Amino acid sequence: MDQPFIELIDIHKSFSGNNVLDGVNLAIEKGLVTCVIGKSGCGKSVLLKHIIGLMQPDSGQVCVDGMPTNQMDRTQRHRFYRQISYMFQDNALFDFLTVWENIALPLTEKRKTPMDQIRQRVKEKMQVLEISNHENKYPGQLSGGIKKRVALARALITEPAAVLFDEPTSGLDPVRRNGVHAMISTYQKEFGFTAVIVSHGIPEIFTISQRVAMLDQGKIIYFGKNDGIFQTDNDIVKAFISGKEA
Amino acid sequence: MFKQRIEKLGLAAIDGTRSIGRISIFFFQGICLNFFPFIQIFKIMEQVWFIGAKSMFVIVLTAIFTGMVLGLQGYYTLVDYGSEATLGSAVAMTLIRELGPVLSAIMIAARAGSAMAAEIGVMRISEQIDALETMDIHPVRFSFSPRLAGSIISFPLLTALFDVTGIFGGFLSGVMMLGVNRYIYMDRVIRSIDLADVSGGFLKALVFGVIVSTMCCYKGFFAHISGAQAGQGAKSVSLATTNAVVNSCILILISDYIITFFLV
Repeated sequence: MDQPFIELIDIHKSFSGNNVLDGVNLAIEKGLVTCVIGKSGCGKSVLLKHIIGLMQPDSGQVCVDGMPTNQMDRTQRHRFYRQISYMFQDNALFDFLTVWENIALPLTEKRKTPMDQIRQRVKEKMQVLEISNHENKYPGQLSGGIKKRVALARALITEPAAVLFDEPTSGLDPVRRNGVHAMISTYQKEFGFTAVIVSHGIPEIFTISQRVAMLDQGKIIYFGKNDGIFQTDNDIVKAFISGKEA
Repeated sequence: MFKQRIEKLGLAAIDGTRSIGRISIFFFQGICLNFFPFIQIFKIMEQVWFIGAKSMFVIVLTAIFTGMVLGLQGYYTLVDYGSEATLGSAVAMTLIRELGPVLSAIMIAARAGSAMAAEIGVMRISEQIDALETMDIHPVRFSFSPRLAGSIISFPLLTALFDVTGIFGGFLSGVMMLGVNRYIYMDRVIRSIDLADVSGGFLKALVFGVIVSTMCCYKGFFAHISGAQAGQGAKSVSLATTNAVVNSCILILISDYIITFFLV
């Protein structure tokens, strides 16, 4: 197997004595969609925040492209943030900025990309995601589905190598949920980024992902191909995907 | 029991020291990041508009009534000694040296400071600050630096407006209502004030601007920590906003005494 793009090695994290991650090992391959499933509050979002660096592990290591994130110098850290985007559960859009300004923000704040290029890139992303007619609206004026698309456009504007999705379909009805899954799948194929999705959308999430990891009591209890999860012998996994208490 | 009390005292001391360290780093980052990698001129102008221009009405209203009260109180005190002609000096000195900077700072803390704390607090609890970090945008530069620069520019200007309007308020009550000679009033105002008084008032305004913006942005930025008992929701933002305004007002009064001690 090639070197994984993102690798979590023996990650431990506890909050006030409560072990949320208890020796997590996970290898995420480049260009694939990996979904992380598990019960609510089992630490899926915490795991994702360790990858992006919003949280630091008590022990263990997160490696991106073979480089441990806690050993990166400033230049490597800037490069790392350019490579990875994060889509928050509640979108985290800036309500005082318009849709256009929200999407362009990662580029306008840096002043490294010329303004006409920024305009061009924002325009392209808005066209692809079909939100061009919302350009001058504020997030408060948008529906949940459109907000997700704006958040995705912002996550993709830097053309990252990987996008981390924290429950992208939470709070959406089944139709919109399928829409968001289809959107992620379509753009993942189009832009070729590595995707890590934390989701409760079972079984539809398995249709867009190639790898599945299940987190339970701070450990990865299943990791493998998406179709393999239905053949597993693990009772906890079987119970979870069939919606029963183990 | 005794051991527990000592432990609590120790924890409070550690917490206090940690807060002082955190606010100092926050302040110095805010100053330095105003210049690196480039000056955010449009954002600073936006803040001058929000903190400065939009506070003008409140400042004018407060100043005119403060001046009028000073005119009234001053007149009835001075008339007992036959010195009502010095009303202009009393009003101008009081406003320019003390009341102008202090009252304008307190009014701006109440109007713009509370808004800064609440806005940044909401950004914190809705993960917008985390989002900035994931986009490799320095959250202190984005949220605090322009507000600090905007305050440093706006506070002295609003103080000047307060002083002039207050002197006019004293003129209204002293001259128009109580009959002090208008030429004597204005002559006393001009003669009694020297450059040291004006620059001392501006120095105070500058310091108050730094205090208000730093305290209010800091409380909002760390709303998730300071409101730990209240959780990370609306309650922590309201707690942060209240603490920001109260702490700003207390620090304004303490620093006013310290600056005045060194100026007189």
